[in-house]
Amino acid sequence: MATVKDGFGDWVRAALAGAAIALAAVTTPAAAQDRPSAQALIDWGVWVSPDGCMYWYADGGLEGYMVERRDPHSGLPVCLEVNTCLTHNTDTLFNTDSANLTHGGREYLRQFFTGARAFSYAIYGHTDSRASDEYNIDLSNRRARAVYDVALSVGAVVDRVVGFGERRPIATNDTAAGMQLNRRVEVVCYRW
Amino acid sequence: MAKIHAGGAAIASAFLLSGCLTVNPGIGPNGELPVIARPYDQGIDPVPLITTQPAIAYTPDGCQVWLMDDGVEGYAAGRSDRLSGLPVCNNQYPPGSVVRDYRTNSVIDLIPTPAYGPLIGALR
Repeated sequence: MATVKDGFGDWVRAALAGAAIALAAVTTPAAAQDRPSAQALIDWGVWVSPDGCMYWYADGGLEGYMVERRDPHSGLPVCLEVNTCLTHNTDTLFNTDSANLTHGGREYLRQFFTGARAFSYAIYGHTDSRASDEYNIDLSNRRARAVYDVALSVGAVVDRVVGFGERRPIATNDTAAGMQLNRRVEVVCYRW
Repeated sequence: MAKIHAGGAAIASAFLLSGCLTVNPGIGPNGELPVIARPYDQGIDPVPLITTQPAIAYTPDGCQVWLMDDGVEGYAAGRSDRLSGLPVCNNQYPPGSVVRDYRTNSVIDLIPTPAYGPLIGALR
């Protein structure tokens, strides 16, 4: 009995030691690729583009380094000022659930593109979160195309037309007021 | 090539002699890391990169890049749409075009030889 007990004790000890080794193997960085050591530092400065967006740059003596500043979570550029030319609720621009512009909406957009005087434009359509994602992507695309057609009719240059559907809300979709804000067309002006 | 290297060495020597630049000493005795780039220049142009009127260059893909040359360094970084994060691209100019003045001062502008001739970069 005593021998068995001792043997059991040895087995437990061996198992625990094995577990400890296994844990060490999991948590020790040596299990991963060796971490290269830092060799130098860069003292980054900020440069702001004409769009108001931030860039990191540093002067290396006889060379320069520059990279766009991006939000680590969204991946979007980090910008100081809003230069969105136009954010307009779609309720008055379009008939309900339709990509047909109202008479007033068409006239408003025609005047906007005539007066904005940018070199070129991007047009983005958005919906609230009612209806399916697929339906909303399609509706926002058709509405963005309708705005694009007005821009072309007055000779504007459009670089990009995208329907984001409900995927880029600027307000909550839990309230009627929030949903109204999300139903929108955005026009970004690209200037020289 | 030898001519270009000689020119680069001459420029480097001039900066070293003037005290504007120093040879990278590597990691210090107490593990200090050398600062290999700073947001200003003590050379010809001892000011930060303050231009608000950069040039726009077009990549071979037709996308716009902010471009600046402070005389010794060049800086370039892509232009993005702030709302969508997408690059700003169009075919208003041929790939490789540089629109507006890319120089931020009047330091003599050294360029590769030959000064004129066909582009031999990618996607042409």
